[in-house]
Amino acid sequence: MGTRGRVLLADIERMLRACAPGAVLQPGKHKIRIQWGGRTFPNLPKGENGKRPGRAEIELGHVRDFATFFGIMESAKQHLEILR
Amino acid sequence: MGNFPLIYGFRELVAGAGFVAGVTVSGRALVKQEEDGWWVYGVEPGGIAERGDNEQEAYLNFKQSLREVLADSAVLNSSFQSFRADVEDLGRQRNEVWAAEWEIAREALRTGELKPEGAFAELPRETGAVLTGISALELPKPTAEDNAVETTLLAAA
Repeated sequence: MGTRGRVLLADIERMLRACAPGAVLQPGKHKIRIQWGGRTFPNLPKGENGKRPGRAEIELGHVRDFATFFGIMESAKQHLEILR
Repeated sequence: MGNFPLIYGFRELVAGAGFVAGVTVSGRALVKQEEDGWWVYGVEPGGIAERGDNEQEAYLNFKQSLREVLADSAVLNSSFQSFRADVEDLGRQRNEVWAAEWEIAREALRTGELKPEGAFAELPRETGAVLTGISALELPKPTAEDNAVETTLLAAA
C-alpha cells in the first residue's frame, strides 16, 4: 500500500500479473509503457520515490486510467483495495 | 461541477534519431473532480491522464504528459517511419469507459443540465463531429515557420 491516494508500483505489477497476465512494462525516458492485449498504455508515471525499486508511488487516477483502458477494473478492485 | 467534455488540439516539434517531425494532436478528454483533485482523462488518445489542484492545472499537466509520451516515442523508435506508425497508433487508442462518460457529459452540457464553472466556463463550444488522432510529418529542413504555437481548447456541446 502506498501513501494516501497512491499505489506502490510493486502492487501495480502484482495486480497486472493477476488481471493482465503477460502485460509488459517498458520504461521510457519519461514514462512507463504498459503493453497488453495488442494495446499500448503510454503514460504510467515512474512515480515518486521512483529510485527505490518497487517503492515508486503512483497516483490513484493513473491506476483508474489504465484499469479502465484495459477493461480490467473489476479484477483490479479484487487486488487493490484502494480502488473499491 | 459534473464531468466536463473537452476537445483539444496542438502542434509540437519532436526530434528523434536523425529526424525532426511536426506532430499534430487532436483529441477528446474528460475532466473529472476526484477525491484527490481534478483529473483530465484522455478519451482519444486514451491512456493519458493527469491531476491538478484545479481544472486548468490538470489540463496543463495533461498536455505536458502528452508531450512526454511523444518524446518517449522518439526515443523508442529509431526512424521517422517507425515513430510515425507508433504515434499514429497511440492516437487511435480509445478509453471506452471515459468515452461513454464524455458523451453523457456532452449531452448534459448541450441540454443545460451541466452548468460549467471555473476555468472552462467561457470556452467556445463545438457542436459538430469531433475528429481525433495524432499525425506526424517529417520536416527535412525545419524552419521557424514550423514553430507552431496555436492550440485549440473547446467544450463539446
